[in-house]
This record gives sequence, C-alpha cells and structure tokens, in this order.
Amino acid sequence: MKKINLFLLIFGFLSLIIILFLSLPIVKLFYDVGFEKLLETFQDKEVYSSIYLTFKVSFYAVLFVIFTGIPLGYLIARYDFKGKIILESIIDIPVMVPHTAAGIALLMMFQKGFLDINIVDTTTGIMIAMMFLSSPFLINGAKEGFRKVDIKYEYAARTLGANHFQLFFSVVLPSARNEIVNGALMMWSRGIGEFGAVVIISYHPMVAPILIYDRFNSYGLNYSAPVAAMMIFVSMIVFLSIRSWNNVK
Amino acid sequence: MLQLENISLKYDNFSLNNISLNIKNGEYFVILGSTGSGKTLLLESIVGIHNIMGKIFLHNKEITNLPIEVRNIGLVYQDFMLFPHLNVEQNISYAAKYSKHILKDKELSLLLSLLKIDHLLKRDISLLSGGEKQRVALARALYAKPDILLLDEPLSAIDPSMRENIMHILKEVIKNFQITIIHVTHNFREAAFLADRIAILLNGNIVQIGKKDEVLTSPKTLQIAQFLGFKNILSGKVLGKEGIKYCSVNPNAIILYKNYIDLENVYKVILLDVCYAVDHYKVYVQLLEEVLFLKIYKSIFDELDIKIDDECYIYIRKDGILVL
Repeated sequence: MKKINLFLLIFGFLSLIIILFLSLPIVKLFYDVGFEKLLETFQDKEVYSSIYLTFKVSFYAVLFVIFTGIPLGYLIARYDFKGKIILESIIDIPVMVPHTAAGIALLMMFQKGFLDINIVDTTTGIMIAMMFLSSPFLINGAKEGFRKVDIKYEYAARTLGANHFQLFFSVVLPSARNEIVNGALMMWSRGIGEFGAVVIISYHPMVAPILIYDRFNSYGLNYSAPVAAMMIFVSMIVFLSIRSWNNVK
Repeated sequence: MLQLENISLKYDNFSLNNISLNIKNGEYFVILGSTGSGKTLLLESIVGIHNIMGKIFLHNKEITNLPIEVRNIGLVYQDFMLFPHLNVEQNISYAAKYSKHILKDKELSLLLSLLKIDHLLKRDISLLSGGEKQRVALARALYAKPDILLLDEPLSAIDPSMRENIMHILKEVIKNFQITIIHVTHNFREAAFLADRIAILLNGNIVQIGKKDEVLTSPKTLQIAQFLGFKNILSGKVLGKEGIKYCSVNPNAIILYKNYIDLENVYKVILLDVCYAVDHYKVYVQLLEEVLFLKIYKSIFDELDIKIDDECYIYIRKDGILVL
C-alpha cells in the first residue's frame, strides 16, 4: 500500500481552506447571476463603456510608470546612495495609506490646478488616482527583477561593445522581463480595482468599481451583481492570457 | 602591448598595490593566486570596471579612462555569463549588433569547429554542459576580435575530466588566432600547461614574475613557496650568513633506509605515520624538531619492514634541496 505523506496531507488541507475561501465567493457570484444575465449585462452600454474606461485608464497609468518607474527600479537595484532606504519607503507609502486618504491628498494637491491639470471628474484624475496607488507594484517588481540580474552580465555585454543603454535593452530588460510583466500586471489589476481614491476625485465618468457601487446603492444587489460578475470575468480572461504569455519562456 | 603602470585600487577592505606588468603581443600570461588574492579585481580593473590609480596602455595608447565598450578587451568570466534569454548563436553573435570589428564568416566557422560547438548553435543556453558553456563564452569573446582576452578562472567551473580537453582546445585556438591572453587561476597545472610567463599575485601584490619554469620551480620567497605547494620547508642558518634562511626539500629526493648507510646527507629519523595513496605511500618522519614528508613505492616500503615509532634513516639528494 502506498504510504501516506502526513506532511503533504496537512499542508494540502490547510491550502484547500484558503483556496475555497478565495474562490467560493466568485463561483457563487457567477452561479447566482447565471449565463443569460451575464450576456445581457454585456450588452448594456453603460456597463461595457465603464469596464472599457477602467481597463484603458489603468493601462495608461501602467504605461506612464513603465517609462518612469522602471528606470527608478533599476537605479535602486544597481546603485547604493544616501537616502536610498527613505526613497524605498516613499515608494511604499501608497500601499500603506487608506485609499480615501490618498484621494484626499491628491485632491488637495491638484484642486488649484497644479501643473494645469484638472483632476476633478476627469479621466486624467482617474489615471492619477490609479497611478498613485498602484505604481509601487510595478516599481518594486522591476527592482526585484533587476536585482536578480547579475551585474557581470552587464560587464560582459560592455566588453562586447554595447554601451549602457544598449545593454539595458538587450540584456537587462529581457532578463528581468518576468518580474516586470508581473509587476505591471499587478499594477494594472490594482488600478482596475481602485475605488477609494477615485470616488473622491472623479465619480464621473464612472469606472467599473464606482458603477458597481452606484448600482448597489441605487438599485440593490440584484442590479450590481451582474456588473461585478462581468468585471471579474473580463479581468480573469485578460490576466490569465498575459500570465500565460509571460510564462512561455 | 599591454602595460600596467603602478595600478592601485581600494575595494571594500581589500587593495591592489602598485601592480606593474608588461604583456607582450601574442603572449599567454597566467596570473596565479589563491582565492581572495585580487585576481578578478585586477582583470576587472584592466577591463575598466573599477576606477583605478595608475595607468594602463594598450598598443602604447593610454586607455586608463576609456569606457569599457571602446577598450576592445575581451573578458570571459568563471561563470561564463552567457545571456540566458539568447540561444548559443545569438550569444556568440551579440557583438555584431554593436561593432563592425568582428570575425569574418570564414574565421567564425574555423573558430566554431576548433571549439567543437558548430552543432550547438540553435541550442538554448540552459541545455548546455559546463564545458559547452565555457567554449560558447570563449567563442562569444573571440568573435568580437579583442586586442587582448582576459580569462577569469575559465576552467574552475568545469568537470575535472573535461579540463584537459578544454586546455588542448584552448591551445589550438591560440595557435590559430594568435591572440594575447591573460588568464587568472589558482591551478598550477593550468598555469604549467598553458603559460608562457607567470606572475604570482598574493594579497593584492605581484610578488614574482618570470618564465613559467623559473617561477614554478624557483620561488623567490618562503611565502611563494608555501603558496606553490612546496613541501618540507625547513628553517635554519647558513654558515657565514646572517639571519634565518629557509629551504624546501623535494619529497621525491628523500630516500628511506632501515639501517645507516655511509653517505653525505644521511640523518637518523623516527617514522611517524604512513598514508596509502594509490600506488605509493606518503611517509612522515621526524627529524629533530621538524616533520618531513617523503614518497615511497608501496613494494619498496613493504620490503623495508619499518614500523611506526621505529628509528630509521633518510638520505637527502642534494639536487632536491632548494634554498629560498
């Protein structure tokens, strides 16, 4: 008879508890909403416009941080300088503060037209709120990715004629790709789910989390649940696709 | 060709001190040093990774402050540093993207066949053995046609059974491409097999430079002799000379006898220990306050019938004594 591995049995059981905790509410939501209602919701213009807006604006936020946060992640990973610990703490602040507090801080900063940017009830405002709260995921992901790339790869590339920019794009970036893509994905998903800061800065145009909240408040659970299911369904499809692509080599 | 003038560098708690070397065109120059002696730091300084004091000249042109990518000095690391996201062919041809100064197709074909990697070109780096990785790293560095190639312990990460093979390949490549090489290692066999000249680097200082036979057989100081693994180092006074002197006695030049024989350089000793080593014994004997080590064939030792703690005699051949 095959010997039972007690260690695996206990760990498997404990893991199963948390897997069920994480997945059952989603399964129950889809079960209660049903396929027909989901299809109907998909044809609701307000719903798909809202989901599209959420994904688009969060994607723009990710793009902005790709251009600014990746260089920052590289500098932190590669160089030691005074105040590095403080800088790393500043980057992590948005993860720690309540999102509504972050929304208030952003509103105070931009309400008088700082840099001529109007954030109240604009997509720019939504993007800034999303970016503020989710950029640490990409910056920290990139930083960890760069830390794993041995600096000797860079030296080897330079002895073969590549300058710093060239080796960054030809060696460092591809070697840290997995962590950067995962960081970007985390940032994107965090942006998509952002509610607290966005609701303070820009109730309209409505992003999906606000639409769900709005329908729940105005019409109740039966009207908000299909939107929530739709949002979860689209998110799952998008993230599963990107994760699978990223894991292929 | 390559001149180092008083290179000094402080790095954490370690320093390279006033290193001066002249490497000739086409020379295979080996820097021998123990772990932590500064070998890699010296190579990285030549490549341009560290800010150094002193001057570096290549073909009589000062390159001390030039960026790494324009020095045209190749470097092969101990752990090869092959780019993991590129296959063998892409790794080798990496330099083609950034320089026109590369091997021609015909030269590349010759190089690949000499290194015996022409069948691996499409292979993923993660699927290569240590020896294959090493040869790919060599090909990648040589493809960029460096003026001088620096090898950082290139054979230490390779299975010992493959090392000899790679050393032969390395010699063949050098013969065909007439390249100047600085090779750092702690392995005396590699140095003896490959080097034209050898420098000994200890604690950040070059302590001896010379032709390989001269350095490997005639260490200038006690410290170098200890590093080179010289056995039976004895201290004493030389008649008519001041201070303590040291000499090393070659274990193969000591002959063990059960009974006294009437010759010069015969001493009474006590047998301390005998260790079996494949085809011979390692025998340890006590001579006054010193312990000497000698090698003796198993059959000869058995015939002598000497037991531990027995008194016996050793004869030391004069040509086996090296005064340090």
